[in-house]
Amino acid sequence: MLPSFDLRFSSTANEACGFLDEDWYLIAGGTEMVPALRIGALTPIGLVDLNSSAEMRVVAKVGSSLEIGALVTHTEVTNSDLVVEHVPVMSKICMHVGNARVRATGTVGGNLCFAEPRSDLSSVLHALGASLILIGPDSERVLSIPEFIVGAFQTSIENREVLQKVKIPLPAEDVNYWKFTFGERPTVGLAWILRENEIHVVIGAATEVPTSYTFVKGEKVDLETWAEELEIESDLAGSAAYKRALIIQKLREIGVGL
Amino acid sequence: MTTSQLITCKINGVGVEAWVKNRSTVAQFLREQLGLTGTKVSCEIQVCGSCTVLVDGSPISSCSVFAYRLQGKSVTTIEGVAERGHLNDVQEAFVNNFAFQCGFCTSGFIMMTMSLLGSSERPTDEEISEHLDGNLCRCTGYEPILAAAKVAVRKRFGDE
Repeated sequence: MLPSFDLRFSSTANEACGFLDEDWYLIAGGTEMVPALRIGALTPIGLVDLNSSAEMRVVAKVGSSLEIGALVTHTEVTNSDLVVEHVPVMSKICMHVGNARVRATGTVGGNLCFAEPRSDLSSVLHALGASLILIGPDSERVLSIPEFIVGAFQTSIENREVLQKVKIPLPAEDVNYWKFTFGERPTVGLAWILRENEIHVVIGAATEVPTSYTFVKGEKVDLETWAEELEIESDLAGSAAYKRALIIQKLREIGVGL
Repeated sequence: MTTSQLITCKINGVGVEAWVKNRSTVAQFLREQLGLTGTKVSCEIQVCGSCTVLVDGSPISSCSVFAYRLQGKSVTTIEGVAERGHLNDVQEAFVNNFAFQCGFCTSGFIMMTMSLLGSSERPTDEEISEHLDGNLCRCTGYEPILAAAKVAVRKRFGDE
């Protein structure tokens, strides 16, 4: 049974800041919020519905960045000509998030703000060096993914702040992405960039927050020992040892430690 | 404090004006307020697809979208699929391919297939499978369901 809550509607990030009194939360697509309300993980007095915001639904190339509004859905990212042209990896990964209904409803901003560790977007955006634009009542902040996502289901967003958009620097880094999944959410996600002398890797989904590592090409690495340092929990998707083995296997495949 | 919203929307082509509780889901609105019980609710966490309806042509899990969000939208449910009292192509493909056993998941699968027919390009077989992979059938009838969806796609887009 869903709890009762009050409702306010806002069409701009600036206006929404003013509506976010204590125990009020933003709602966008609702794919994360509705289940959270249903299990009682959140007990808001009210929700601020942002869905009428046109400014936050835009994908645009502005200067040397591709900007994706927080309310853009995964399906819209997949189908955006600008995304396909400038950051094709984003189009590809959004095509495989959750299921077709989640993709059509869930938004980029909701995905990031919920900070569910088993997310594809946070790992890939981390590897792309994306910045997040947060609008506050009288100020704006620009945060990187590691500055924004600070724990499982935890972000550094402050009361009355709204994630307005994501900026990906262009030309975009040539990011590859692989995930292992047996349900709706990834068990392990791995984004990587092959550079001339190094391999830059972001590991996500299995870890609480997406975490980056840089390996020097051709340098021997004892990956089994290295992987012991990763903070990974066992859950229904597999034991920690199994997830570590998946990560090690994939790292070897892309040439780490050889 | 407001606990309800007045919404105006179209349900299967018919204009509807109704007060809905803030916390009411689209599925509750359809089933309990409008008596449209063809939409089935099962998992309530957006993974089974039984409750799929189309909003402006896009598939949603009606168990997990608030009804107030239907303001100004056009909704298609399983009750709106038949054409002038006759099964439409998707329904007919499901019947001809024996694509259901108990039938509880069927309206969800049919609505997902309907949303596929709205694409601008012909979906590949792989895309059809992927589009339907978020729907569960506990009678394990996936092969005939996929076959039915492919027949419906072929009928809509031709053989190419």
